[in-house]
Amino acid sequence: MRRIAPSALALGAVLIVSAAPVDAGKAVSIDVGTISVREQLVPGGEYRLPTFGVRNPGTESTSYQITVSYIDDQAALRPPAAWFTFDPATLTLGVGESRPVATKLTIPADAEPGDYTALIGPQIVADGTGAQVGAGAAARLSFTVQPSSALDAFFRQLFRFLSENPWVWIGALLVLALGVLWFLRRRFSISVTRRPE
Amino acid sequence: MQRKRGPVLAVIGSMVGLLASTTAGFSADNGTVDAEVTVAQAAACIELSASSISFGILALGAEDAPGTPGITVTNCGDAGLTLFASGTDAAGQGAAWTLDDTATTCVDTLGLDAYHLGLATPAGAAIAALSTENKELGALDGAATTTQVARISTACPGSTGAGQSMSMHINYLATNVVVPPIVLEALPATQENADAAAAYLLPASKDYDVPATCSGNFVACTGGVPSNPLPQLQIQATNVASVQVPATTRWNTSATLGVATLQPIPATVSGVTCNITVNSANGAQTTFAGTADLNFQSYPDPLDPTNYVAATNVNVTGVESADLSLTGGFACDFADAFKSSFIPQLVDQMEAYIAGNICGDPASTGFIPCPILP
Repeated sequence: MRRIAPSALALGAVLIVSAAPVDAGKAVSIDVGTISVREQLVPGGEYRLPTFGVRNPGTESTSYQITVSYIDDQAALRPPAAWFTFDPATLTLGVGESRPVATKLTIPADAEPGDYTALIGPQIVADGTGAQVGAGAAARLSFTVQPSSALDAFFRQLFRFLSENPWVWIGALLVLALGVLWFLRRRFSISVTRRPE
Repeated sequence: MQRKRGPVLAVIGSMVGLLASTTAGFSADNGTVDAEVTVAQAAACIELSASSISFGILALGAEDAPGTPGITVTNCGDAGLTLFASGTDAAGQGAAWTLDDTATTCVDTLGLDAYHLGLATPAGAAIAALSTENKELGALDGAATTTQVARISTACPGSTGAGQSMSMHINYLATNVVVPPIVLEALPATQENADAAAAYLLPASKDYDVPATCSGNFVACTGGVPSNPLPQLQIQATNVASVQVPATTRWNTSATLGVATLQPIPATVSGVTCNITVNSANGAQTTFAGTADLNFQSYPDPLDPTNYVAATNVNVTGVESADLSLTGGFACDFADAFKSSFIPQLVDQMEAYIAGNICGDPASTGFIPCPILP
């Protein structure tokens, strides 16, 4: 770190330097240009998007983070980053290496219906202080969320929860069976006696 | 007590129904379904010359100060890119500045703890004032580079950050250039349109360039150099007829073809160079026969109403050795083998003239060759 002249501090100067401005050998590449979802997506639904490949075309090992960003002044709605799950969400690639990234899109039950667009793809992870310059490559994603009733969205989320947690519905089934048994025993009396000879 | 039995049974029934419908919806991957998508496979590749820059020591209220070094952005792919850039808010110890992309200054309404970050050419011409969202900088051709200089206007005097080292990011982002979607005119599969399409593909008379072949048997390529201008072949079509294949959107089209070269075609086979003249009238049969399938299809969704015609399975028959005559030297007078090796090339070329996709012309009621349909 450079030493700051006391006089500069006294004048209210601001230091915006990087520890060592350096030439970079970092680069990034993505193998998908656009992803256009043809069907209308349903609030409460969970969708698997096509896998895209990330490649390190640079001259040094580089770490990437998969990000969601938007275009300034875009007319379409902006899907929040929380709707996306990337696997892996971060990755480090050696020179020339590539790796596929799986994408899952979860539409919340209260999602606003309409057309959405976003840029999804790898961004070089910055690892310094000062004025950092980073690079990313992205695919243009577009999809439409269809209007849905709150009841429909509730059931979709419930079904997804149950499918991800099978012990819940197995337990519910057991409770139901016990309830039915209890109901039958309470309403009907069954006695088994030997037939008189 | 008896009256409560109905609601209790209803609740139990609905629970059973709910569970049944839930189990029916289970999938192999925890309820996630594959979205129906259209994917354009195209690589976007970007490389930067610098990962950090320095603005040096600046006073609060400094305007449009350049950073060093300049940032060279390289498109490391073959396809063109659209280049975007964004910035972040600046942060220091006990200090935070909001990135502002307006033209305000400390003299007017910029206010405290807000700053500007922009990109400019090395000569200082502004490219973009950055915001926290991606701003389009322009296109970058394959393998092309552009050099830009970051410029900063620090927060106004009185803001936080005096004596602090402020950190911020400039993020470049590359996407593939968006190609406008191909929109084709509606073209219903009717007899009238089939006849019109056949008439377009097989007009009464049309002159075609004979393309140069500069490998194998040289055609229109003397000494390895394509002929300029290229020799031409005239095809006169008569008796053009199209018959629909029942219950399909396909028509079988046939025509009688009269073919003649407008200029001799230079060709070289096995080191012998001759000039070929074609005239279908010289053979035992004075014409060739042409057939083709006209398929009404839809792009991009094959299930949508038809909007183009694909001419496929084109066959030209009846070409005889006598239809060709050779000039050019002693060896050409006895080069029957020459003719037999050239006839398949001639047939292939005539079939290629007719085959292809034709679309409705938006500017008229006629046809035009379709754009390339990916």
